[in-house]
Amino acid sequence: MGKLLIGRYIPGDSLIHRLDPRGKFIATFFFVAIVFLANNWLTYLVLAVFVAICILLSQVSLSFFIKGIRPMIFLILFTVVLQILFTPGGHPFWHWGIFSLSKLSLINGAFIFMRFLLIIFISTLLTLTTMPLQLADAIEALLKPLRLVHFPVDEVALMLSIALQFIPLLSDETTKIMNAQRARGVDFGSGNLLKQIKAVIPILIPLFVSSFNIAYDLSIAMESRGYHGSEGRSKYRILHWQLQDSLVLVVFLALAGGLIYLRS
Amino acid sequence: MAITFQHVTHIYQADGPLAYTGLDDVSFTIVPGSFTAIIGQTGSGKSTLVQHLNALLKPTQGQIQIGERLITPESKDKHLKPLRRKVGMVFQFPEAQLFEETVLKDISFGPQNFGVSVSEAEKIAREMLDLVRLPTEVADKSPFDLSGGQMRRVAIAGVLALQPEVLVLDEPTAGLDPQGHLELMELFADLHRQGKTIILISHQMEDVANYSQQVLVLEQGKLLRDTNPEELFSDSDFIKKHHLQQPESSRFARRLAERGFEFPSLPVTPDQLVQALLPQLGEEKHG
Repeated sequence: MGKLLIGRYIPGDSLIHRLDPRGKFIATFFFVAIVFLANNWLTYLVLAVFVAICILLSQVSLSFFIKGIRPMIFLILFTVVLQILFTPGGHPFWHWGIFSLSKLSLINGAFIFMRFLLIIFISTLLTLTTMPLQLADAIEALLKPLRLVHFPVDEVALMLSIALQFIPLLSDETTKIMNAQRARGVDFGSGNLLKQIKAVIPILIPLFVSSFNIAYDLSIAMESRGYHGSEGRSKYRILHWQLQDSLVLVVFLALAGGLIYLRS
Repeated sequence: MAITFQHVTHIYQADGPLAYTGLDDVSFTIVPGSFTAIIGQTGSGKSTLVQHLNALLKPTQGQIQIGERLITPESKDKHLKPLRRKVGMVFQFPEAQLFEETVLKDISFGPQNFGVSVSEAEKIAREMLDLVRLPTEVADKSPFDLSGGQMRRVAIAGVLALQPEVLVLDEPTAGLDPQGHLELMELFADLHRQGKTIILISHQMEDVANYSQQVLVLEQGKLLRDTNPEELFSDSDFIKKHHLQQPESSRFARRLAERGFEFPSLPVTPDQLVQALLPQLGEEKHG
């Protein structure tokens, strides 16, 4: 644990922190989609500058982003290397069997790398500046149209927000149980595969049992506070869409337009 | 086994952007066979400290001498397993660590991890059931069918089954009824009388006063005081300043002192209070 930054929120009061989570959510998804519009150096440069400005505006230190990318770096490099070695076409200045290396494939690899970097940075920006509960609210709001096809939006939103709130609790519980079993002589991460799988049982079973207990206690507590299904409830946390949120979407649309204009 | 902390500092996620200090330059010694209480407010570093005692955490700076073994920031995890057998650790709400099909299997899980044969481990497990005063018929039950108090005992038995020399208890009686609380504390006192070193984290000043010989007071990762209960609880200014509380007997004695009773030193246990009061009451009766 600890090292993983995905889903962690860094409190702050920057422009980006104060934006409406729905807008941020849409903008992030939109950005991920338009990253694929870029196909030459200029367009990638525009995107990189754009992301850099977003990060600056968020006032979150860059080291968080660098650290956030660390667990994925192998996956990214693996993909990039495959891309470089297997891109056909261009004038190969080195080849061996099915592998070949050309200017085109190197450029392709660099673009793929940029794509990964941009997507990870922008989604890390979303999670670092938005509280998990706000994200859940945003997802709930954005799923609302699905009510028309009788999709249980409120139930899904409830499950989502409960799940989000219990992630840190369960992760603490896992650490605690691991330590307790270690104190009883369990070795994690040593021995052969079978031995290592067996060492997981003393963590998994207690973890499931305490999840059941938490679920039981929580449902009793919810019922005793008058919860009887999602129908006819009012909301405590109300999202406010402001001018700046609309402006953000306009900026993103402009970015997309710019990319279409600049791409070759 | 003597335990010595020398300028131990522990920083969580030391190289990350979210680093924070759990322990700050802590030094003390625990002599073999003693009963040490660790007190301090929530988040003062008590649990961080005790996890160093069997090397679940290693110091970021400084070193720890546990018996023959020296633990430094460079110590490798591989060589620390034997230590885990010598220092038994009962975590908060230890019932959350139960997982086997039967109580007996769960208690014998620990010894088996250290190479004790199945039959020998089960023999130890039965002895431990007896020691924590559980009826023998629970041996073949599932631990999840037991009551909360019984589960706690099974978990503690599972740690005692390692037959550790040092027993570390992180609030072992939290959430128990007064009867269960007293029974468990008496069990630990018994183990102490048999020569085990006991280290107890507690918020109950009565337990600290009644059982411990040494008290370590922590605040924000720093060791404020390494003292004994008598000295600690008679320093009313210190207690007040650091949001601690005196045991009932001391508080009562202080109120009596305001009305003319005299105490050469502030009593911390009911026994001491009675001993200090008896002669004074006698005088008044005769006089």
